[in-house]
Amino acid sequence: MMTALEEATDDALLVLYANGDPQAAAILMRRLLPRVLGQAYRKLADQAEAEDVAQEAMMRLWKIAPDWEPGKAQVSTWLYRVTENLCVDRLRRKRPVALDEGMDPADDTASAYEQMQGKTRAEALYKALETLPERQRKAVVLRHIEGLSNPEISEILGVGVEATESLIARGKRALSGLLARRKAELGYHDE
Amino acid sequence: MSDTEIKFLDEFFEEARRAGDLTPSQDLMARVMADARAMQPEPLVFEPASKLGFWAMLGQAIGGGRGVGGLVAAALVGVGIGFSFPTFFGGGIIAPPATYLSEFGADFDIAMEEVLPYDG
Repeated sequence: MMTALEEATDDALLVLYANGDPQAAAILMRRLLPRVLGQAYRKLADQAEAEDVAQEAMMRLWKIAPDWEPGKAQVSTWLYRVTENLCVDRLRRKRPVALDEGMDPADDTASAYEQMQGKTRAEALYKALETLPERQRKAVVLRHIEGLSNPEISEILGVGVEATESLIARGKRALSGLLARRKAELGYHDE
Repeated sequence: MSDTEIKFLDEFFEEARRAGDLTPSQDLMARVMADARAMQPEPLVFEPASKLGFWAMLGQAIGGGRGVGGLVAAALVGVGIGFSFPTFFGGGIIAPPATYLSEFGADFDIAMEEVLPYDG
């Protein structure tokens, strides 16, 4: 059975934490840490580094709690951005040469693609994602791989919810076409 | 997109999600909770009114610390003025001109009878 605290919004829990509630942090951690860790791991392709980034991102959440203004932004999207920036910083330190040559550290698919080697379908998906326009790719990744809601994606991309839905729909149509051409190669057989 | 196309694509997303997912380890969760405890502000404590003593309740009734401070300051100023200017108010209030009955003459009673109507 869920307690009232477990049903509270992220916003409310963060305010409770800032007011000294002893349970709010544990609920926020259970709710947010898996997503932050997954995001960092997909980006960095290294478990230890992803764990360090996840801990640092959560630390920044605890730090901002006393100044958090409920309703101004969503905790999940704020945390997504913090995690994204921490990953980019790590990638910059790891690959200074590649970045000097024009590689985009914020690319959603580069690191993920590296760790998908050997996992045929996921590998094919990331390869197809790389061919999409940036905003379409970002919207599809956030929705179907990171598991964010459309309003959260809208906040991250800075566009309306309808525009987000349109980006996702166009991205998926393009992906479907690209992957359908590789069906036989990927082990699908027409019935 | 048809249902078949959506299902086809979902299989790719599913594999990508599973391949990139990590379950937070006990060690990581312990580290995150230790940070949370270390950085958590002190809880706000509200003292119930019934737990307050008489003087604390009286202090609150007259406006808390500021009210009590104002009263103490006013009392000190009063005492100061009393010590510094003891004759300042003396002429009119402290020593009014005294009149004693012994100072009246024998005709005082007769004079009063003339003034006040006799009802006996």
